[in-house]
Amino acid sequence: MRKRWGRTILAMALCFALTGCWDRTELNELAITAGTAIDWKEGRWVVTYQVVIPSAISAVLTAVGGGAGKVPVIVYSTEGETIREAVAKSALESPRKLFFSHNRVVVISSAAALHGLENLLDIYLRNPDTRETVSTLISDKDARTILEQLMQVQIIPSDGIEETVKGEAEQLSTLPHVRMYNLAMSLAGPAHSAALPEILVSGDQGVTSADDLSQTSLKSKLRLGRLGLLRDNRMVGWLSRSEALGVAFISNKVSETSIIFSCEGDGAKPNSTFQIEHSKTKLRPEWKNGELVMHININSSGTLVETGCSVEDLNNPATIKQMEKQLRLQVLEQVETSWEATKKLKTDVLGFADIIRRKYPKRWKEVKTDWPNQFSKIRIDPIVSVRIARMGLSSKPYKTLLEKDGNR
Amino acid sequence: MQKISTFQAVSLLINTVMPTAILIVPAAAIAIASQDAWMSVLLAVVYGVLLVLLYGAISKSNRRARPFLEFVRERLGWPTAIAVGFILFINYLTMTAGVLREYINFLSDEVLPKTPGYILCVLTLIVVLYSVSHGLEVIARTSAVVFAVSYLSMGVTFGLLLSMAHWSNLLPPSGIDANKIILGSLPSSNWLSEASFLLLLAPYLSKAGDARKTGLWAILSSGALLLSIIVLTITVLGPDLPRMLTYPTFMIIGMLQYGTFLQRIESIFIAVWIFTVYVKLAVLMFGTVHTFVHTFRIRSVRPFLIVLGLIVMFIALFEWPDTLSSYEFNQSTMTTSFFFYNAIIPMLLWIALLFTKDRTGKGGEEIAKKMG
Repeated sequence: MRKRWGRTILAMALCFALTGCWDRTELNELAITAGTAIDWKEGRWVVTYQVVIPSAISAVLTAVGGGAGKVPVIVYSTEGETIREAVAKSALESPRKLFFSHNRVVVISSAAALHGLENLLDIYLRNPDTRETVSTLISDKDARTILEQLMQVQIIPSDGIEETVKGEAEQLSTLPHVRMYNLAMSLAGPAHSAALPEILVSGDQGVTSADDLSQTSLKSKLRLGRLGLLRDNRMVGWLSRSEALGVAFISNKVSETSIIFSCEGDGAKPNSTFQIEHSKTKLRPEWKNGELVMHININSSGTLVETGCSVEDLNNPATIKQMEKQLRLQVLEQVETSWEATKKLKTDVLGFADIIRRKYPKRWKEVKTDWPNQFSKIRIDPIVSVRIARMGLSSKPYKTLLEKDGNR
Repeated sequence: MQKISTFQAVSLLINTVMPTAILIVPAAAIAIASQDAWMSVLLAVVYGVLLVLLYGAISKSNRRARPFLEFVRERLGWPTAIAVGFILFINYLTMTAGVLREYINFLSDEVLPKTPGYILCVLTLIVVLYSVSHGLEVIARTSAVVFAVSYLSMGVTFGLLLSMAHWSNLLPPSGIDANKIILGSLPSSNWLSEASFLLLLAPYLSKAGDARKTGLWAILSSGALLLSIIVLTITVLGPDLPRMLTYPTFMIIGMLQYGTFLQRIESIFIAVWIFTVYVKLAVLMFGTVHTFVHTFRIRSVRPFLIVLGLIVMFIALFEWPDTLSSYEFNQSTMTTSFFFYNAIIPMLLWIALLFTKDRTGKGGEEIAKKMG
């Protein structure tokens, strides 16, 4: 009996030793970072943290209509010769230890991207306290200003940024949603190239205080912009949003997007919108007389969601054929312009290197050392097919009703 | 003597091979064979099957299901038994220490960076020695439960990962380089050859003739698991990134994200995986104690259990004080020692048994008759 008691007490005593050993973390000793920004200024890394203030968040959540008194986050920066040195220096000014496991976004300034991202990627792959699933964005100006900006609907701005870029990639498909591991994979891939969505503050003055927030229309807001291209861990240039859509089409990353077109033909002002719901792209490389030709086969389908056309009947196959032709030309143009732009930057974010490595491994070995130049010499042969699968709830354009009345 | 069922035995063997294989094989195989690493695994499975057939043949001649070293003593005389026993003892001792070290390295790298290694080592060994003191039957029962839980959750995780797989990453198979595929199969072969525990395990089987069947099931399932892990790693991460990662398996599981509610499940995966490591360590520690006791014909096991545990701890702590030295050990001696212990020694034994078949076979029957 005594033995059994002894065991029970020992077992219970052991429980005290099982609380995570030396690695236990107390919630009230942590500074939970929601977002991180990486800047490169005067030869030093500047790392900025958007740290959540738990008490302020619960105040915002409970005080409905009570007016905003507190800001939900604080933002501060540290600098150092290396990124981790800068992070370590946060101990000099923060009473709590930075905790990166809930980090949602990393914003990299274009200056930092010009300097090179190898250290940042190394940190993310090396340390267990960082998560490779963070959303990664690039900003043309100081990345710190992005984190300082407050949002109205989402309490924690970094959360909002992630939700925005995620939603955009699903609904508009112009800019991709890039997680840190995607970035590492594409930069380590055969083309050594990657693309990052731009985030910017539109407007001159930032919304950085609770007072700024208490208005229906903000002085400025966070917005997604262009597509930043990187090659060999460095920034090489920007693509406009419409060029970026072409990139998405070629690299088979369109999930949903809208295309505007005119059924009257070339040169007319676009007056209809088509919602692409499915799109698939197949790439097929071919060597023709020593020249590399990339056949790009795009197959899209979707719904007509708006039209200002003066056509009698949308159930007429000829009408639909005409519309599909216009859409096809529209997509084709997008593809051509984005190809010209990526060719100019000699940055293969289209996945060409990948497909050539797979299809022609021997040829690939010959061209891979000089890939940026070889890439810009490729000739593309895009074939687009767009199918209007549905036309919504009305079979005739509303405009035609009025035109009929006018004839009477 | 304790008896275990065939399913328990299969689970024991899989849990002997898989836990550290999950850690080390994907990175090592992909680093050498790139996107063709899956072919390397298939090659390794063929090797594993051959080994298991060998172990099965040896076990088959152990008709009266005597403990392995007793059987060797009866058939090949005591000098051979002591030599073989001592060699196997050294093997299991270094294996236990090596696996313990890898496990501690992993915990320090991924989960508990600040906790001192010796604490992790002591805590783990207490559990392992406790289970070994209860004998193989207890380890086997635990193993069967752990097996069901852990591989079910692994299956679900792998199923979820399928949505992130890009199958085209496996191409081009036209870039096949036979040398690389063979070299790339070494890590998988090494780990699959750990099924040599079957030799010690076979006499404990409740169905004496099932050794070969048990081994084949274990090798084929382990091979299938390894194959799916490697294929998933390549299809999710591509052939380039895994080369630089220490634990790519855990990285891909960490990448898994469904909406905002299911993310970072690698900590759950790690928790489940830790169960299997305990089984592996218990099996290897059992091997160490078993070979020691039977080589030197020791009656009272308990005191030696603690001493052997201490020796394992000291080897694990001081032989490889940092991750670099254990990496170097893996790189330099692993393949040779695995091949020596798990292929050469059993092969020599088998040949020796072939030549001595008649004499001891009859002798065994006579003894059995006398005893009967």
